[in-house]
Amino acid sequence: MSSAVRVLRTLEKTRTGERCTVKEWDYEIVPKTLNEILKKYNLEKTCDTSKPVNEDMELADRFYQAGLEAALRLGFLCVDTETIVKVSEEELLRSLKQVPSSFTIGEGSEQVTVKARRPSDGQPPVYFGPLSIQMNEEYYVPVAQGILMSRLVDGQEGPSLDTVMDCPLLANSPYESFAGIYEARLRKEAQWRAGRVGIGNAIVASSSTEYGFLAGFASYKPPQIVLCLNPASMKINYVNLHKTIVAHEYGHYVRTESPTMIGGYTGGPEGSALASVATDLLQYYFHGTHLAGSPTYDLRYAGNCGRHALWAQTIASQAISRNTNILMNKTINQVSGPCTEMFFLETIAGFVAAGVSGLEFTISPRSGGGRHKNHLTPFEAWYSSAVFKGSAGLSAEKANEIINEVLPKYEKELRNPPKGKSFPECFNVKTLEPTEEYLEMYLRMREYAINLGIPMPPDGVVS
Amino acid sequence: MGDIFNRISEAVRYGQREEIEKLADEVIANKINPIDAIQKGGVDGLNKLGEAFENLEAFLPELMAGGEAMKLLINKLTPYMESDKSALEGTVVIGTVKGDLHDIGKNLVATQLAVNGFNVIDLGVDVNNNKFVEEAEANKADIIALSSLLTTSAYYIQEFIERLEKDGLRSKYKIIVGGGPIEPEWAREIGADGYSRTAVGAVKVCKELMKQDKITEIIIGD
Repeated sequence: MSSAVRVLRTLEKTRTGERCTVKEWDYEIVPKTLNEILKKYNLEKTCDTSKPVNEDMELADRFYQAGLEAALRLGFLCVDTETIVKVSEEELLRSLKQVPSSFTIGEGSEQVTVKARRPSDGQPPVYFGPLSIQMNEEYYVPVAQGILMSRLVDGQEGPSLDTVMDCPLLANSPYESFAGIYEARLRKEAQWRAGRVGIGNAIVASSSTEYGFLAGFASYKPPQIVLCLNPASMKINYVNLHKTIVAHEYGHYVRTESPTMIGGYTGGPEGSALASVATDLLQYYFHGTHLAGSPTYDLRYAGNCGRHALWAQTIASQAISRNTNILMNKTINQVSGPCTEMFFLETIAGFVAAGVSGLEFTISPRSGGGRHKNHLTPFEAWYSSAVFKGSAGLSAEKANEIINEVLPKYEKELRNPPKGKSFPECFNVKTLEPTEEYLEMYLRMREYAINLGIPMPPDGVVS
Repeated sequence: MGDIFNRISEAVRYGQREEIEKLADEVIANKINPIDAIQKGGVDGLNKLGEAFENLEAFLPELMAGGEAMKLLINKLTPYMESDKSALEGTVVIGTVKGDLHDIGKNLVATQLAVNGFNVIDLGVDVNNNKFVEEAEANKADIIALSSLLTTSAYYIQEFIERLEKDGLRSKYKIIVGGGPIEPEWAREIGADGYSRTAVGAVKVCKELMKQDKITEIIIGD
């Protein structure tokens, strides 16, 4: 089935589906259905926080079966039409057989292939960076250039902007159109400066709506990855269907996402893992997705490097990777900022857990939870990509040994994490030379990771 | 007496609205002090609900059900209080500002406020500044709460406060702001009355705002 037919069918379902308000969906239908399914499959209270990476693959497979049922019973809610879009079992199973198991992005020597992985797969996953942290315009190119200097970073999402030529970039306004175009120019400049002209991009970071994407879109040669970030907890919207249609029709790859929240509508770690599996299963059918995303965050600290979130995210990844060829993207969301030891510790836990659980792709880092402007430097991306790739081939048991070593060092700080330092406080923004303090910390924490048993590949710059 | 308070506490903890209806009638029929019923029963139930949320034994839907049960209890008992003053803490108009579709953080704050006895008017997401003013006026709001997870939407918060000043409405409302990229320093700079990083902190800030007629220094929550 062509992507156009697929999305047209989704659009029709949004017009004709069963009516349901967002409130009913969030507060009644989703929690009630997930609870019933958790009970039916004996999945309640299965989260074992002493093993943040699930070691029981039979349990992961049960989550898969339960997720399939959740996908069929729930479908997605379209928030614009307040209708539920559903899929029959036959349609869903057929679509899962058609899911692309790989795609290639980038040009020439910069080409990378995202391929389906399995838990403890020795094939390294793919890393794009950074994850849209706001920077001053003057810092955009230097920080993006610095990040791309490491060959461990396979593609670019770029930082994001909140001004355009010093004007405030007001969301959902024509300023976003300027931002889309401007961001594309800055990204290209960073790629040239870093000597990585052909690198793939995930577009567009500075615009929350379709405006920035549509405006910037013409600046990128297909295929790139188009970001279609849907509302949390099994919901979709028209903004992202606009992007999806344009992306497909012009030969780009579609990356959709709808996160789940521990403590939110999807309940605890088990309910959130279940909803993540269901979401990943549904995204290809409805959007023709190349990269499915349903990361899990913990609402109590708005990150996912604590025990419950690590467990939920890894078991959901294992369930999907063991039973399908769906290519997954999940965010590893650190809450501590640059130039703090906690950032490196969170990164070890989050990326080792993800890397050994079959995850194919991520965009990172999320220094400081992405909350603090200019709190992004090249080192966080270099370190995260090294841990992610270095974890390929490790067992779940080894991952738990590593994670249980680092987690106690920071988990009490998750709700009140250190903000860290900004880019100009950590690097000379003209020469891209790090401060002695941060360089020493970065190299020491690389050594620490190696001593824990993570074969950290060199960044090619300072290590 | 303790038995009925325990039953109210339990009904609020588990969001049992029908049970609350019956228990409120029992309070009225037995001439039990309504304030005691709310404080020793309802508030106790809410505290237990808060603990359950922290321990992942209750989630956002349960918090909302508990908040609605508490609101019902307060509404039923308010006419029987000696003082004319409502037992509600105040009215808050809340929403995520224009261009931003994120709702979970805002919903968590709205729910925590309702759970703690505020009358909450939730305008949803992608709310334009005119709508905030219209709804605040229509509902005689005490506090306007603006949330943004996007830096690019946060600009609308600044514009909103400037607009209230310009329209001569600024002193009529207390303004609390929050969301991922909002820093306390920025909240102070744009002239907000309160800021909090967390939902629990937002409740404390709103309670504090309600105590003060004029805010001279921004109140920063947890």
